[in-house]
Amino acid sequence: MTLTASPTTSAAIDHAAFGDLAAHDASVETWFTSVDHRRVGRLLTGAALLLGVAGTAVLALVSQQFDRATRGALPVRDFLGAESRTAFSFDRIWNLVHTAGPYFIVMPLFLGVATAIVPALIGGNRLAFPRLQAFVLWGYVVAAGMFIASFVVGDGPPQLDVLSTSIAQTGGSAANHATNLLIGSLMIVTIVTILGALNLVLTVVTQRRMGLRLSDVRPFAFASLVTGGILALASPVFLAGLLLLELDQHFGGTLFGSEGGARLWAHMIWLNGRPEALLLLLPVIGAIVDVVASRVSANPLGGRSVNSLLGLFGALTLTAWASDSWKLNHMVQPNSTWQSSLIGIPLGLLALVALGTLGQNAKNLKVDASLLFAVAALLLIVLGVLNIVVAAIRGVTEGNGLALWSIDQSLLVVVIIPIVGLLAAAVEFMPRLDDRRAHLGAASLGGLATLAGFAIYFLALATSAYRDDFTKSATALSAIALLGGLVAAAGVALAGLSIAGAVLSRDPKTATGSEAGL
Amino acid sequence: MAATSALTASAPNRAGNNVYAATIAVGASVLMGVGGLGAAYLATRYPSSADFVDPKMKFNNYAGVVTLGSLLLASFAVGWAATSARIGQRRWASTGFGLSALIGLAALNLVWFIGQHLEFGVNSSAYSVLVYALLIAGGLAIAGGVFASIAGLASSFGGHASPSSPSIARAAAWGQHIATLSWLIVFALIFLKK
Repeated sequence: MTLTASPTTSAAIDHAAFGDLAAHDASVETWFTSVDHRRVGRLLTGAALLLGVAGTAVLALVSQQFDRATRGALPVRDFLGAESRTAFSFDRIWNLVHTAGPYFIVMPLFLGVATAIVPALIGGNRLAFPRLQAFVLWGYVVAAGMFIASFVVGDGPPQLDVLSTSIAQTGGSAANHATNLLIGSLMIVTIVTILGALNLVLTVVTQRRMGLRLSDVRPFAFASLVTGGILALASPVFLAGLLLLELDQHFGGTLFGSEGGARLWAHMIWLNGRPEALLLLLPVIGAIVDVVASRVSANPLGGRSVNSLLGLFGALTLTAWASDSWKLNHMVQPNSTWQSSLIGIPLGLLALVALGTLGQNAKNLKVDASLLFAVAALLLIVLGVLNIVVAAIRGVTEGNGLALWSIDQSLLVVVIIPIVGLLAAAVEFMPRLDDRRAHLGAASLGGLATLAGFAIYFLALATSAYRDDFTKSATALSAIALLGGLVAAAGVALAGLSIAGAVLSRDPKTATGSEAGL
Repeated sequence: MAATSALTASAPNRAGNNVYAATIAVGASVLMGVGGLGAAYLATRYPSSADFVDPKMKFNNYAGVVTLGSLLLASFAVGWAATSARIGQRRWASTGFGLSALIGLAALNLVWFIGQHLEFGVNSSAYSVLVYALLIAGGLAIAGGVFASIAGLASSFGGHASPSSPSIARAAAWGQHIATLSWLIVFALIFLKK
């Protein structure tokens, strides 16, 4: 019987190797020194979620003060009542969100979830290099600290929004400390991402249970292998771009303002011009298929072809480099070329695999909150596809509307869907590593709030993009989007707490009993 | 019992294989990074029909060629060391790794020398930013190769690079080869394609 066929006793193997840390090794010191993949993975996941939830709350409080249309600086009053303007301009907050989302929330979340559960999914009991993943965790913490500091120090980094804005405007001016800090933090987080991704790849390749073929590993583990491999190949190009950016900014060079500078920006730094823009959907679709298969206790429909489709998906993300810089503002970004649009084929087929597996084995279905997150991720993918179709029919082609549409769609593809999909895997598998399960009520409520909040957020911004009078509609719709963001953050926090509660609980009622193992 | 013995015996090899696989994977990442800089160089050079490189700019080709020659020599030495480790010649293996590390250090010094004697600053032009970035990336790759050679030397002294576990020595050798390949890219762009 293979791992894809039924749950295994890998968690029991894990316990034999490391002992039950939750029960026997709970001192504070071990949280800092542990190299156990479950603990390192959970800490990394928790850190990423904490940054995301806290960041959203702070953003919500601060952004209420801005006049979005004029993009003004934040007005404050001192204790004598005199009004002044802080350095917290709308652009700085906007940059913070766009840079933090993919690099400091989604990628560490993927690494955290995969670190915790992939060794168990492949029937192994450890990572290929356990200490390396601990280094990744603490490197991430340092990078996140530098990143936050970069927005507090001095005047902050202007126009360094790696998701949507070109840096060409800033060419020729020497960087301030904040810019150096920001680029430094991105360099560190990229290095640890590469190392963490390589560790995952090597874990799947070298630590599989004896006799388990690569083509037979479960979809989330295989998706982690492909995602890790592509990240390890694509992120060094980003790192090289950051080196160029630091040299250019620090010494006041003119590289990104030169004739070929836009192309360099597009494919080395700008997220939508690189494979990572679509890559983060890969572990999501792997998680969806795996969670559905786990909930109905059956193999995914299609057998080994599922892993082939996941591999094809990964290979197609590399075509993002094939788009030319003149397509930077193409309306269907990040699917800005016909090659990268081909990703829709494996994505659609894998979604059908998940639905088919669910439909064929509906009688065995054991409903859990993880299924709610998986369905939510699928619904959000459908929403993204619909947004592309509507934009094509409606003709959102230029001006503020196109800019807002692009940012909205990018946030959905790069940040929102990956968070929801990875939470599905986290809620399903993380508590089971210690033979426990997340609290059904709390996790389900979290799932509903996450879906509703993100859908409101996305739809409000999308509606704003479709309005002809951008500035008139912006204020009301951004308030609705903000409300959606807060609801989603509360949902994510609730889901995270339900996992943490199950993992840390000593209550035997939360133990899965006969469901032990993955 | 036989199965248990076989598993126990294979354990060190598995650890060595992990290191070997990790070296190849890290090497692929390093080459992607250097290759990315190379692509950036070409993408910036060709749209600019003129003045990408100032014709008056003097470049010390000699240092670049000697660096490449040194690294090729280091690669040869480390290949010799890995083969020696595989056939159980520990002394030769140590000598090869040691030679490779020393030559790598000399190459690193040459890269520093090239950087120090460039006749333009980082902010002179788009070209200068790219040249400095390529030199930094090449230097870091060479430093990684030196580290790999020293690790190979240490494992040879410690008896870990042996016929029963040749993967460690092969990993160290690949570390140096990747450094040489990286400098080859940098050399071709800075010294040949200017």
